[in-house]
Amino acid sequence: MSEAEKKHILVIDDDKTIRKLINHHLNLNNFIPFEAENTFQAFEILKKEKIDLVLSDVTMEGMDGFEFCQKVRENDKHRFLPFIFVTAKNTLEDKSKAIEAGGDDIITKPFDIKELILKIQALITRSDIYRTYGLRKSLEKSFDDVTPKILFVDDDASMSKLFKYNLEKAGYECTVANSVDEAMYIMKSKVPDIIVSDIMMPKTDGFEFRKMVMEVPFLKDIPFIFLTAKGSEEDILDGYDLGITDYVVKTAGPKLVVAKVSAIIKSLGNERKKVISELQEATNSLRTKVVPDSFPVFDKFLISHLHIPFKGIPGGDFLDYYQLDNDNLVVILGDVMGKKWGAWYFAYAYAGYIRSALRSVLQDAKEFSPSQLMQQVNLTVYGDTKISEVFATISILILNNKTMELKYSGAGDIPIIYKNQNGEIFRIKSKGLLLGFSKNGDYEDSIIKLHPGEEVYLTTDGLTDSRAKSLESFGEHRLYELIKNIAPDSDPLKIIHKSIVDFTNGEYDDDISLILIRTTT
Amino acid sequence: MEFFREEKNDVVILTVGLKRATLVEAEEFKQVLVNDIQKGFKKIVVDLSNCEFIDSTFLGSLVVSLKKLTGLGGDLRLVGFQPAVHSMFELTRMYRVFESFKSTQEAVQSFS
Repeated sequence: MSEAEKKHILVIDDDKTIRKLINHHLNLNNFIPFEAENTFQAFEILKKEKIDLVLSDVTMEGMDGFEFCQKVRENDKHRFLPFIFVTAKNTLEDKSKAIEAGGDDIITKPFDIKELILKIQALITRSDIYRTYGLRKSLEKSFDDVTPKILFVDDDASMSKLFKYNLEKAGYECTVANSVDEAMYIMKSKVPDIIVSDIMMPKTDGFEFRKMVMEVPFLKDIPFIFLTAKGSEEDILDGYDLGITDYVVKTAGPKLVVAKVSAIIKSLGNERKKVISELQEATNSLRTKVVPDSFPVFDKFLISHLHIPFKGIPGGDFLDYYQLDNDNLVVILGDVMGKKWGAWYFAYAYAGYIRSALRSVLQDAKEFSPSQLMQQVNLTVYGDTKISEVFATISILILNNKTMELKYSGAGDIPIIYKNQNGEIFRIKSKGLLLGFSKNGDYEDSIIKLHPGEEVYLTTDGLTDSRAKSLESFGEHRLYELIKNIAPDSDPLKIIHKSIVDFTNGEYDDDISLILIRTTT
Repeated sequence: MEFFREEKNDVVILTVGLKRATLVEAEEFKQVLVNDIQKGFKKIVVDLSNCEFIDSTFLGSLVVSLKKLTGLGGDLRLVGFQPAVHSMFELTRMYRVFESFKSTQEAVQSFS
């Protein structure tokens, strides 16, 4: 790693020994530490240097760590600077104070240096992701796949009731305002996706309303539909002059309004797609890959995979290969759960995040045990309060080409499939809990001694849950039958791929991933 | 409405009225659960006996809520596994973290 690539960490602690200890380990792990013994020095360093992450003590003379963090956050430049508190106190109150003050994480003394380094690495990766994605909040807002919200403004209560009923029936959330004043008031706390407004209203009319909306920066771009009783050309032209999106004549009835609203929502969806492709480019440039470009070359083994992203948009599945030393190769297949709910595209970022957390564990792996690797990553994910709602299933294998042993540990994953020399199929179940669910995931290693000409398959639920038009799932049993009957000299991935395409008619609900490990004969 | 809600003393019983509970409804269901948790309910029973299938996203909404509730000293207990749902919980090892019961009555009683 070149000096320029190294990340700068600011360490604030009034205890010299702790500073020295942390600095020593930061240096060992390719970080450049900056030391401050009080917040005064810390501010000076922040002013002069480009800092990538702050590690701060809580109890210090003068200004304490929480206050310091708040002050740092007041500076726009440092609003998203990753900030970890290192504290002797481990109370819930302190934790909530840390989060309130704007901290990203908290580590309690005496701390495990490995855990500290892991947290730093994970936080830096995440902030790199956010930097590329831009502000997280605004992204969530524009991407949340939630029910579109319609604001309906009309002074005629019976009309509002009729439209509200129809819009809600069509799956939209509809809020009614019976005056412009009320509408403006509602929008202070709840920004709609579309505004539908009557023109003729007492006090302030629809045209005035449109003008008012245009003056508010965060409202002006919301699609706006006029509802008019008259349908006279003049009205309509006046409306378009004000940049409305569309108009509907009241007598045309609620169905037409619903249709127009749906059309607009759909076009917003297209906009979304555009942003997604930009996101993909951004992520690609960050090298937050979720799938390797090529298959690993590893003596005595032939390894290949099949990965079909859901609708071409990379989602929650991730694959990785990592060679620990000459004799040991790690194979990883994971699936981030909860794809497509809330900000589903974050599944991609999280998949990248977990993959890089795994990488950092692998870099220092001393014991080649999948369950231990799993537990370390589990701790990182579990302890990260910002992703406490994200869970993942993972299978980790370590292959050894001297002993021909395969060690396997899984977290909530689909059992791996082992086809032995005699063509018999075994389903090997792991016991571990979903990654990130509990502090101790109870991970275990299973060991299989492999022989020449055998096969091991790993997959995620995208494949087994994929459905035919008849709604029937592909299921594990179908996969077993298929694997059982694959001839030794054919390409199993091709055959399975074709079979899934035939079964689902090419329409998947999720990412489809399959890894095949064969021992050479 | 796909989710039916009932209260018995301090226990909330949510019945999922879906044959296939999937990512389409997962977010809404999560919101229903989060609402109750925010209101201060700590004992929740989810009745899945209508569900022939649940996918991992829907399971995720249960898991998130369970994690939240156990953090608050509460629990989420389940009722009525059909075979495919049972194997889903078995496959993901989640049957180990969720307590399940044969009837809502049993589940409610288990809280007292």
